[in-house]
Amino acid sequence: MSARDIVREANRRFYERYSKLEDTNEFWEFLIKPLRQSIRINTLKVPFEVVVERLSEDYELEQIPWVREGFFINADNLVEVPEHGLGLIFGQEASSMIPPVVLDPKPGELVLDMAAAPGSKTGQMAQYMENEGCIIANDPQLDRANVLIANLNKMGVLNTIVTTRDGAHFARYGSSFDRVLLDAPCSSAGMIRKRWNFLTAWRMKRVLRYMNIQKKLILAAYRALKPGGILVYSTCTLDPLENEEVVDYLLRKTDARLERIDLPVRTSEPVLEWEGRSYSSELRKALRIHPGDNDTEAFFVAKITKPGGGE
Amino acid sequence: MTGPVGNPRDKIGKINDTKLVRTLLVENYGYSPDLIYEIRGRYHKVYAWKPCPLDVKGSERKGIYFGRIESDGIRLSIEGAFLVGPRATKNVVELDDGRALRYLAGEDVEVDQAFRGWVILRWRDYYLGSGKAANGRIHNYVPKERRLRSRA
Repeated sequence: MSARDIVREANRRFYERYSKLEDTNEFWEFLIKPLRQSIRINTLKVPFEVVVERLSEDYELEQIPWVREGFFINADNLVEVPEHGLGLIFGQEASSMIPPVVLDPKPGELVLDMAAAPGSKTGQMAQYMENEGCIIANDPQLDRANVLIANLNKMGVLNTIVTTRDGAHFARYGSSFDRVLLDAPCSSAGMIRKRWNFLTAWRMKRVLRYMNIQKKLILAAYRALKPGGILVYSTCTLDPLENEEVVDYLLRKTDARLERIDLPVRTSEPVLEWEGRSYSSELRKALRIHPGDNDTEAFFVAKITKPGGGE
Repeated sequence: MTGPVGNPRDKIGKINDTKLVRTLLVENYGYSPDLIYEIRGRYHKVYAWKPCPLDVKGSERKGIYFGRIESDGIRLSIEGAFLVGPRATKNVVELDDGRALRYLAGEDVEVDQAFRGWVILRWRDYYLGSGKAANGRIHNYVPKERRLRSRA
């Protein structure tokens, strides 16, 4: 049975919807192909070179082109790797390392991570900040926040406060944060390679429900941002209603601008027309990553700036 | 190789947590990182963090699990050992590859008889947390969920 048939049989409505997005054999094959094991080296405890040198004694590392600390590794299970238990490496999907690279937080800055659990991106940001400054890492679900706390602990993150608010709450901190990451809760249609259930459980009504949440969160995130600050919006889903539609909504409602992202990553064309809707041509600056582009999960990343700040 | 005089747990609540932890760190390992420390709960766990300029009301949790006040000193978590170890001046035990991997797998390992009490375990440039040295062995304190599993 072809990959296309497997997807169609597992969830016909999913197949019909996303075949309008891309309908090549390669697209369906990569959508269900198992992921390669990737890791991020945690530089908060030991210098980068030390960990790479030790790991290279036992494993083959293949550099992920868009993030210095990211590697594909030929380990079957990370619990067999000493560095994993010591919190020196962290299993993190290769495309999910992109949003912190794009946000590029600096030591001493005040950063909001609005939907932070399980914390891999929070830890990545903390290492770019060299554990200096402050990250407010929020996740409204207590059980997810506990996972976040455990992971930040293991990574040795010292500059973070974990909160369990509704993300929209942070709008009241108006113009406080130098940078905001909104890695939004989503229908996870890009993560089938990680969990098959995301395909079988996919329903259109969940896409619409998440879209409404995402619109509320992106407005709050933008309000929390200082003039001159940077907001990165990302999801791990393919659906234009959770990606281009949400960023287009922000562009229409506020003075937000999009910035081009310059990374060595292959991308698909952002969607500018979908189901009778037209989106701003500015969205060409966003990254739409399909699973076949780089043999990763699907991802969407937009870099948004707030005018002002004396620049 | 000598520990602090008296039971440090008796001082909890009588002096500032940060001051107590920093004093114990210097006594035990010769170095204390400049962090905010708080001792929480009936197991006297120590949490550490850096200050944040934003006042977040109702914040849930600050800090990482740094270690634990014991009746005879201070035991460090893996994270605490990475913060103290590189500048520690005493009670650091160097392990070779074989012993380090066995320790990470949860075993006690043999060391020089001269070591007694809480020591930081070092493997190359890595720190494995504190263990307790007695009678030529290090008692293992690697948490079960972080132990090294052998390849099948």
